[in-house]
Amino acid sequence: MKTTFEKILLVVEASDESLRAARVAIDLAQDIGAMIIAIYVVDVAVVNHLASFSGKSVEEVTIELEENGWKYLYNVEEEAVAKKVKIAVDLEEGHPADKIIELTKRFGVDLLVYGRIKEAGARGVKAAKSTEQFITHVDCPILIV
Amino acid sequence: MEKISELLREDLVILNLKSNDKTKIIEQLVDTVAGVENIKDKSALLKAILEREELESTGIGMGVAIPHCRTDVTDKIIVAFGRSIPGADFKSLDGKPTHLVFLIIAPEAEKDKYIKVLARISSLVRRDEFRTALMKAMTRGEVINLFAEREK
Repeated sequence: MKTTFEKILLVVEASDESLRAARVAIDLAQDIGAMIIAIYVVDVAVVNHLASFSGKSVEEVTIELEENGWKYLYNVEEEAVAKKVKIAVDLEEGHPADKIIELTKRFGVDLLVYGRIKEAGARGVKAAKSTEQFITHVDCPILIV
Repeated sequence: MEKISELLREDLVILNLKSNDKTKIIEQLVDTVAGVENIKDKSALLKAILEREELESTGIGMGVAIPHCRTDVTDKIIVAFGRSIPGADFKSLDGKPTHLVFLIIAPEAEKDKYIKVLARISSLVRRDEFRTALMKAMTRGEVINLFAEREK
């Protein structure tokens, strides 16, 4: 396992915790001269759930969620660029935990940075389950903020 | 938010980019913008975009790149589009050549609108059929109509 971090995978989500993790990742990357690959995963389960309740088509909901995801990614990108940190952004669709595992391998990253949702209730339980899923399968070190 | 189909005018569309080189493509798009819009300092604009290009990969994959920056050489949001049939290397994460290039410029103070425009274009071009239609468009007007149809 490498002990230097040249490429950091940052998981971006629609949460305050994710924003905090992004800032930690950007500061870390700035300190050690690493680059960031920021990813946002549109959860297909959420798409299907929203489509079934909203009366909108799966494609309409997907586009809305993607557009929202890109906004988060470009906001993170703005913060990184302001600190002269190299960054690439990527949006994917799928099951978040599976995608995170896949992308750490595909991009050959040295560190994964993730903002842990410390919320009670259904959202917190779902997030904890998802976190547990990828933690046990990702090969690189993980920084949970 | 202004629609992309309203921001993107025919005189800001290039159906056949001259070069397959990333820097030259950006130069051609900047020249096009400077030729029809009120750009206070074209050199400063090109420098800002190329500097930003050094920090980030604006190739978002699927054959699309979106070079962009906020700069006060413009007082409004500008969207230009260029198409390269053979494709160019924008260092996309998926490693594929870039065929569709959107240049987005916005004043420093317009961060929110700028992010929305970036997000809208990034989302629209994820649709396979939309990218195929952009690749096949025969006229500049057709390119704009494709956005208008999607933004109804």
